[in-house]
Amino acid sequence: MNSMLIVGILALFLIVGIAAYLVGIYNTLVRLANNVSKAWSNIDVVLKQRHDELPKLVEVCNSYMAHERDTLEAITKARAAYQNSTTIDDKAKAENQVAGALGRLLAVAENYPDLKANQEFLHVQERISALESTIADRREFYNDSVNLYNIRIAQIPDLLVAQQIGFTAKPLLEVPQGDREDVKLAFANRPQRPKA
Amino acid sequence: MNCLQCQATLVEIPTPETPQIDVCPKGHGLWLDAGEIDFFVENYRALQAATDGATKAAASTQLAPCPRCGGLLDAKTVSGVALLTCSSCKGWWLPQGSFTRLNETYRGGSAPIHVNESSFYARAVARASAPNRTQPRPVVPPASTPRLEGLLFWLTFLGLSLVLVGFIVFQVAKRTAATVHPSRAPDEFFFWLILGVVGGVGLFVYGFMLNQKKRLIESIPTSTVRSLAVGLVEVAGSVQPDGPILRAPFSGAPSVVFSYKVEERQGSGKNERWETIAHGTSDQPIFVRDDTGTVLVVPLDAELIMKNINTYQNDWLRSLPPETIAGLTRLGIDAGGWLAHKTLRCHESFIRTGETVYVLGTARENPAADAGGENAERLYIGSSRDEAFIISDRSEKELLSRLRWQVVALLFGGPALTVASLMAILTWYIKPGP
Repeated sequence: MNSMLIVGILALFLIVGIAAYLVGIYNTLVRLANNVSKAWSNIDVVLKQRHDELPKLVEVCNSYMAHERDTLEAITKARAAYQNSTTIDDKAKAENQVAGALGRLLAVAENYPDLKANQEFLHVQERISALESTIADRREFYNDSVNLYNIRIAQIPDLLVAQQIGFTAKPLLEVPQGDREDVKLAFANRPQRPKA
Repeated sequence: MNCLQCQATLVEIPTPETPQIDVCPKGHGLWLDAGEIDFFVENYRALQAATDGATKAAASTQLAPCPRCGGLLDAKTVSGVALLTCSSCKGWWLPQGSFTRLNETYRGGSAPIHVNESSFYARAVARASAPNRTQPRPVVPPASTPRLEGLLFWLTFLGLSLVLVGFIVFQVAKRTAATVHPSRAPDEFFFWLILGVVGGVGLFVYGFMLNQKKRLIESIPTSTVRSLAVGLVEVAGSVQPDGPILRAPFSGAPSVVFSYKVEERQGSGKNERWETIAHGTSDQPIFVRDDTGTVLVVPLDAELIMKNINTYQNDWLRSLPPETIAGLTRLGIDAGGWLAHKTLRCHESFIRTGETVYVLGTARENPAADAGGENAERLYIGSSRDEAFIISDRSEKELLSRLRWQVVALLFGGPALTVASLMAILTWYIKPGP
């Protein structure tokens, strides 16, 4: 009778332990999944901040780079495309165009020493540069979050719970190579401006 | 957006030149946002000049509002090509065929641009007829909504098992209690065994709480200071004081954060015990710096896990060091009793300036910071009612390793203590009835 009592108590510990462990695994997986969503949204927040700086940049450059209207318009169009994007896929493609147009503008600005000495231009450029670094950090953080999530749902015993609740692996944030090629193709096909 | 002619939903068609254009699946026309036409026309300057110079044609019927912004549309004819432009958002509606005619009319660039308008309409038809493929697959699926059916089944199964086993154990215990009687009177050891039974359960529960903390630390990736966002965050970096360097209370070691506890021995012999008479932590904020920036950390209510630990104790052979006595005096603790010095045990733990620390806490907006400052300047890390707050001079890996061993010890040790105590009670204090 005593041994039955001991075995029964051990069985109680085991059952309670397993149930609590399952609940713990579930809670952790939910937290990991929501961390991934939050990390993605946090990238979007900084992208918007950068996009808000672009009109100031264009305005400052406009007065110095009157003959580079194409380059300036490319940024305005790319920004409009991002704001009109609804799906994450479109946002990623539009963001690539923004990044490409911005890079070209800053490269062209090197030919205008008066512009480079303008304080407002320097301030906006510095702000955008800081935001670029933050965006890069947050992309890495997003990939870290996805990595933690993907590893956890693939490991035993979390794998068993993840399968039951339908959690599947999430893709890492990668800029598709095809999108880069598309952007280059678009600008390669544009008619060349006649030299002033 | 809807077609101006048939009100069918326009289908987004990606192109190499722009993210997408909006095409009527019934072939009535397509919509281009402001400036997009320039990507499909070689001599876009001439087109621009011609468009600016074109007069608005009198509309024979009232035009539909702009599908993009709802503004007024102007009907124009440019080089014999009829089109509609929006005066607000500057978008263009091109009836079928106009797109190709504009491309062919305004040639002359150094790089040729060819468009295949019919392929746009064909793709729009294909996408419209396959609704699952009209929206591009997102790079990231939305936040996963867990299916709970499977998990609920197993939890229900375990719950029912618990009830069943609990019932069986209760019946066995009841029969055991009915057939046994005490073999001797409860003594102090018996109460320690009861404490062992209850304590074992408590340790088991505490083991699960530690496991939750371990999983929380594992599930939060480390942020750079530059990219901190509001909410629960984890950072690592070197620590600097926000103000003068502090001194550890009993050793005087320079530090940025410290905690202390003072215990006094009371009673004697078998009744001897240590009672805590004072404890506390420093509350001066600190800065944590990594390669990307510096962030303010307010250590109030933080769980401090520190490596640098000093313990000072006096007894009849030795007295407390002078720095410790000075520290006790600063804390308002009198180290001397009426007839003899008190027996005190002083613990301190601290983090030195420049040491690498791990911080897990909640990042919030700093009300004292400039609104336009950088991310790390706008935020500070502090405590939250619902989340953990840990400051440690151990690395994340060391913390997890310690927690892992503690969890294993508690999850196995707790039940072992309960079972061992129960067995001892059943063996020494209870005997079967006649």
